[in-house]
Amino acid sequence: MSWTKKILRVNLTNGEVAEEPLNMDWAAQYIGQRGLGTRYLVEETDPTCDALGADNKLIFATGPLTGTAVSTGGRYSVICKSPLTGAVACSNSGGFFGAELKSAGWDMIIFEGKAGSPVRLHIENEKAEIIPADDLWGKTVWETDKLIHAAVQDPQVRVAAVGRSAEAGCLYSAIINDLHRAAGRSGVGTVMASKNLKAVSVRGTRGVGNIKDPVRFMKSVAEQKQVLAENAVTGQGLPALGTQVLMNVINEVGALPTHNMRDVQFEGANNISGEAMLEARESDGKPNLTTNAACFGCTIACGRISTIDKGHFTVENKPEYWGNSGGLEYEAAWALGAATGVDDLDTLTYANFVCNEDGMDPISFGATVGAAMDLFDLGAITTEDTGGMDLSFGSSEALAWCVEKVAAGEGFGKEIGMGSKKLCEKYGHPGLSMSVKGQEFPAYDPRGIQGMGLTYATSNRGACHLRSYTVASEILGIPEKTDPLETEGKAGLVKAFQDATAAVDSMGLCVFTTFAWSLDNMAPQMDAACDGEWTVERLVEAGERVWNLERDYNMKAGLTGADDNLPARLLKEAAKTGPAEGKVCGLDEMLPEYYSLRGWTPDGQVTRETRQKFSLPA
Amino acid sequence: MNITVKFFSSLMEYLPRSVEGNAMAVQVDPGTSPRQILARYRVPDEEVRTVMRNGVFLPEEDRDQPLEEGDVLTVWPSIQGG
Repeated sequence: MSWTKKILRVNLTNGEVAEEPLNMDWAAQYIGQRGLGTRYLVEETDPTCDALGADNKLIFATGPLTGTAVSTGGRYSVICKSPLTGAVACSNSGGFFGAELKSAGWDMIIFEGKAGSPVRLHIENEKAEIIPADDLWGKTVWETDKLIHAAVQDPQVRVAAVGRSAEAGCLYSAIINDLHRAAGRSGVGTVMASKNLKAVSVRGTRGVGNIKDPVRFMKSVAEQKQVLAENAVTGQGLPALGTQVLMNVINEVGALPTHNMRDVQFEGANNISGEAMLEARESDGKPNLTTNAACFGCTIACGRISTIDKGHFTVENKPEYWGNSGGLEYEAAWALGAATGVDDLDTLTYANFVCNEDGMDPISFGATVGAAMDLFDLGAITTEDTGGMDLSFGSSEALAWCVEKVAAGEGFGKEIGMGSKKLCEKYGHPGLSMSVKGQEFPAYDPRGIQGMGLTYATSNRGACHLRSYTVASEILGIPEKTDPLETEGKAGLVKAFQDATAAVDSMGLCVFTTFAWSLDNMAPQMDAACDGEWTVERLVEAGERVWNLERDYNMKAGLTGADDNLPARLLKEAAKTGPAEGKVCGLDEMLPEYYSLRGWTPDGQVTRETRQKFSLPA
Repeated sequence: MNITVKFFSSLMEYLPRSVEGNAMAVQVDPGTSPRQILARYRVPDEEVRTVMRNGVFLPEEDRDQPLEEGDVLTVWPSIQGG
C-alpha cells in the first residue's frame, strides 16, 4: 500500500472529472511521482505534440511516501512536455500541497484538453469540481491564493497556481504552491496556463494510513530521522545557512558562472552569500534572513524566510513587499546575482519575491537576463530594443525592471520571457545562450566542476543540477571526494547519481536527504510502507528504468545525441581565474564512456537490448 | 611571509573582532602549515570540515604541509549543496 491507488482524471475540454484506479503494475516498475507520472505521459501523449496545445497533458503526481511520516515526504512533481525544451518536463516541489493531495486520497491528477475559458480545480477529499476562474485571470499567484482562501473559508486549503507571467506565455513559468514553493523548471506553469487552468486547491483530511507494516515503518522512520539530525550537513549546515553557504565555496573553487559565463569567479559573491544574509542591515539593524523553515514532514528545514529593507528602492511605497516571504536559495541568488553581475542582496531578494509572486523560474529568468546583458554589452541589444533601459552588467535597476516586465508580460519582458536560447537567436548570437536543450544552466561552471558538464549535457530536462548532483562528490566529498578538475571516472559517477536521484524523486522524498542518506537508508522505509519488496537494488533498477524512459520519450520527441552538448564558450574558452584557470570542459572525454555505460549506441540512442532489459513501452 | 586567511559560516566567530567580512591578511613565519593557522585562531578540530588552499580542496592528511607566500587559506564547517 501507501499508494492511494486512485487517479483523478480532469478533462478540461468537456468539464468531466473522473476517478480511476492507479496502474499498480506500472507503480511496481516506476514507483510513483517522477517515474510513474512520466509512464502515464508516455502512454497517453504523442511526444511530438505541441507542448502548448490541447494534446499535451499536465500530470500532478505524488510518490508513495508523500504524506507519510518519512522525513521530507511531502513532495509532488508536475510532468508534461516542456515548451522551453521540447523534451520531457518534470518539476518537483515541496511545501504542503503534495501531502495535502495525497491526504485527500489521490496519487495523481491528470489534466487533459483545454478549457474554453479560465477555470480552477477544487478538491475536498473525494470531491473534485471545476470552477470558473475568470475573476482570477490576470491576478498574481499571491492574489489568487488569497482570493481562493477567501472563497473557500478554510485556512488549511493548499493552493498551487500560475501567475501573470504564465498567462503572458513566458516559457519558463513555474507552478507555485504555498506562496513560495515552486515546481520551478522547464515551463510547467506555461503549460498549465495554456490549458486555461489558473489554480488547483486541495483539502485532504483522510490522511495516509495505509502503511504495509506500521510498527516496522515507524521504527525505521525514527531511526532515519536520527541519522538526519546527527549529520553535520542535514542537522546543522542546512538549517543554519541553507544552500546559500555554497556561494563563497563555489566562488573559491572557481566554478561560479559569472557575467553569462564569461568568468568563473564573482567579485561580489560575498555580498550575496549566506553569510551576508545574516548580517544586520544599517537601516533597521535586522538581517535579511528572518528564520529557516520546513516543508511538510521535513526534519532538515533548509528553507529561507527573508525581508527586504523597507527603504530599498525596489520596495519604496510598496508595503506588500515589506513582510516576510520566501528568501534566496543558492541557485536563485546565483542566477539573479552572479550571472547578471548584480551584488545587491535586497535587489536579489526583491527579484526572488517577484519570481514567486508571478511564477517564474529564477534560474532561467536570471540566466536570461545575464544573456541579455551580454548582448547589450556587445551592442546587439540597444536601448531602442528595451525602450530605454540600460542593461549593463551589474545594474540593480535593470534586474528589478526586467523582473517586473517579465512578471507582467509587458514590452521587452516578453523577449526575456522567451528564455536565453530564443533571445540569443533573435539577436544574432545563438552561442551566447548558456543552455542545454534550451534550458539555462544552474550555478556550477563545468570548467571548474567537470562532472557537472556531463550532468548538464545529458540531463533529460535540459541543463539541470538536480538530475545528478556530482557537486556533492566533486566539491563536498559526499559520499567520497573526487577531483573536480578531472574527467576520468565522471561518466560512472554521473550515471550513478542520475539513477539514484530518479529513485528518490519517484518515492516522494527530497533530494537534500542524500547529504546524509543513501538508498540504504531509504529502502527500509520504503519497504515497510509499500506493497512488494523494496531493496536498494530494486530502487536503483527502477531509477535506471525511469532515466531510460525519459530518454526514450525525448528521442521520440525528435531530440538526438547531438542535443547532449554544451555551448562553445564552455568547450573552447578557458576559465580565466582560479583553480580551473586554463581549463575548458572536457565533455568529449566523458560522453562516449557515458553512452557505453548506459547501454546506448555511440550516437546516444537507446538500444533494443536496453529497452527490453527495462521493459520500456514500444 | 604574507598569506590570506578566510573563515566562513559559523567559523566567522573565530576571526578577530577587528576583521571586517570573512578575510584577513596575516603575516606568518615561513613554513607555517594550515593546521598551525587553525590552532593560532583556536578553531576546534571538530568544527573544521572543508579546507581549501587557493581554492583547491586540502585533504586532512595534507594540512601539515607548509603554506607559501601569497597563499589563500579558506576554511568551512559543514557545507552543503542546492
